Amino acid sequence: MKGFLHKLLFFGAFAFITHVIAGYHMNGNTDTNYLRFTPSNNTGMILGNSRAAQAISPDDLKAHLGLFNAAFALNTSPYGEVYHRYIKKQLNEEARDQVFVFCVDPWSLSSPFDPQTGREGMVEESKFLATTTTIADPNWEFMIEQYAYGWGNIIREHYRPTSGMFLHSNGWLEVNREYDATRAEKRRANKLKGYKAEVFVSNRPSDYRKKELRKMLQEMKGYGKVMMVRLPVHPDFFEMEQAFWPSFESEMNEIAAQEGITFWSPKELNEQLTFNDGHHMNYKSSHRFSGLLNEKIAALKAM
Amino acid sequence: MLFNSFNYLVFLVSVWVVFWFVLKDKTKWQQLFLLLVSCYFYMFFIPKYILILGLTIAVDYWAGIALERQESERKRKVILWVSVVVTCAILFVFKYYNFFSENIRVLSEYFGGEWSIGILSWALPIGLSFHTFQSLSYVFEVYYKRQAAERNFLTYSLYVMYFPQLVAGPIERPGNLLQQLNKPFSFDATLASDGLRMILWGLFKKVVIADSCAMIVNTTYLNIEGASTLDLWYAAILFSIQIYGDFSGYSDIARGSSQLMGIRLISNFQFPYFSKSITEFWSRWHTSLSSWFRDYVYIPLGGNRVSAWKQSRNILIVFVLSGFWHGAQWTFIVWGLVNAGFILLEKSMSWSKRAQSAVLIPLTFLITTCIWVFFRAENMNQAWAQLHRMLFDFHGGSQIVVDKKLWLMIVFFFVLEWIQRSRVHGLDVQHWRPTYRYSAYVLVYFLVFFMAVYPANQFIYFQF
Repeated sequence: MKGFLHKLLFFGAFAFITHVIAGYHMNGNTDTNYLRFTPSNNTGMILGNSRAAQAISPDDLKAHLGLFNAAFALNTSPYGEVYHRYIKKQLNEEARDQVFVFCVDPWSLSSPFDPQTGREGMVEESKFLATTTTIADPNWEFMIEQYAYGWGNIIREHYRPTSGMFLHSNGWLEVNREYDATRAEKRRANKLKGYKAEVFVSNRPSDYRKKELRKMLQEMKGYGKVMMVRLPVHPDFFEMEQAFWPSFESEMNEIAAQEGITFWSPKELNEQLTFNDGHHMNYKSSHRFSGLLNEKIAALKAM
Repeated sequence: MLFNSFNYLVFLVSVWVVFWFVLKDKTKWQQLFLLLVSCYFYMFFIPKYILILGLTIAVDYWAGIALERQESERKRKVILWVSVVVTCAILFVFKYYNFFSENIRVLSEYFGGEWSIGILSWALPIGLSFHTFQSLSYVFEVYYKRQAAERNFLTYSLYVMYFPQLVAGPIERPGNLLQQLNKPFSFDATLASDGLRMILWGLFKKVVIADSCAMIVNTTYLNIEGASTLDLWYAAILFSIQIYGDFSGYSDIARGSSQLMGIRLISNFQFPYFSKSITEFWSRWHTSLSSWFRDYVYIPLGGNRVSAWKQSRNILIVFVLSGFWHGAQWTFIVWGLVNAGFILLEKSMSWSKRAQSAVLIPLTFLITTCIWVFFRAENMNQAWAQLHRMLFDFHGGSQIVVDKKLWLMIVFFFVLEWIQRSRVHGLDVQHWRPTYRYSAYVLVYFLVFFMAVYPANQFIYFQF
């Protein structure tokens, strides 16, 4: 037993040390969500799904520095209790002059409904946003539970990134993809087809999500200024979203009016900006859009 | 709790420490502890299903004692049938009811009727087929008087529930496992060291080989219609490698975990892809299941001691049942039938004895790969379409991007297994010189460290 224990401890320590070393190499290159589970020391947040994660670069928002892009993805961060819990964990509870940008679209306020039972599906409840309980640096819980590769891959991606995506410490997900109209068009067609075949059919506008959105809006108003934004998308996507939820804009306007906040929906930009796949902005358009949003934030702060 | 998860690592280490340091030399307490942690392990999946397992255990425990006490052969048969029917009824309800229901509906529609017995929407208890067969093997052994009935309910429960083999085998026999559970546990450093090697090798097979292959296979299977002939061959070959890495990797981790507790589990794989015929393949692949069917179906039906056509009938029955054991789908039944067909073909030909290994091993692998198509397909239409395109209808426009790193790993995997083919497992290297041995451990560890993928998918055989 003694000899076996010595060997076991030696190999155990070796494995432990190599994993700890790897863990300290986690950064924006190694995982596209990790840094959102480390403390952000923010002065406000950008909320939404992957459209917002890629569209809004907090560094471009000079009117209010220190914003944290806390947007994830359609299946991870639709408005609901799970997302609300996460936002509370990242919330700076000390400051009262913060800014919160709520990005809304028909998908972040809808859910799949079971056609037989009519029960609303909470897609986010099994995802990492629901299961990761801590915000820490390093966040071992996130690495152990969510990192889907051998940890040696962290070291490799740290020094020689291959994914073409970089998560900035301010939460902006920069997808380094040069815009190629032909390939973007192909991706857009595929994505649109996928949306029409899946979420368009399975999802329905959700009263629960609208209620949760309002709860979050009301809570964040206590910490500063709040606004809602509908991010631009390719006109074909916009058309599909209108077909899915024709009264979306008017309902958002109604919520904004009732909550006394601004709702900005720059539809004219649908034609002007470029998208990698029809609804995720190319990083160059992200900077342009963030510049325009900056003006809105400046106006909001002046109010 | 998956074997390739951090939770399992913590679980196994904790169990090991308590088992050998806190409860050392207290056999009854060690048994009770193993039973409790096995319950905890099982309840990680769907907790309430432990009641189903409890029912199977209670019925077969009673049947064992009743069989031993009863002298009348007629009454013994009745007890045996009660046990078999109750145990199989649980399996039927959860696993096969919907299959029969759906086929009755289709048949009724075919004859112009609208008869339906409804569908059950219950999740399949994990590993149900495995522990059902393990429990039945005990009842059969007691019935055939090859095994004394176990009087201790705790020991018998542990025989069925022992966590390393609870959810995907190996399907143990009482002659091996129950006997070990009845003896005082003693730590064997050689056995434990080999257990660690098995765990490391099993992990490599699962998280480096199988799960990497799975990513390519799953992508191809998402769009079978759009895949070229080459894509389909590529996916089929990778699936052959995936399922071997997945299931044998699982088995190695199960056996290795058990050896840390001082208990040997039976071997489930003996390098099956180095077989020179389908018949040999089945003597090396999932042998705990093959031997179960041999002992409790094939031999009672007459085995080899009957006329040639009855022998063929027996082989067909065994393989159809084996296919059906895997899943309540026609694809599995046809998979079993095709395997049986090849075995019967081999029996009627003598070419396999004359040809060389260099020809027969790759040929057997290719045949197996084609047969796996039925196993992997969602339905019969998909299986036929894929096979038709693979074998008869060439479609160009391949989208294969060869993953060099993955293939390097696959080559390393098979070369090491080939070198080790006369040993118990691929990393059975205790006879190597220490420098080589430790280098091999470090190399395999770093391959897992750098190349592993941990997708959310379970082991393939968990679904059975």
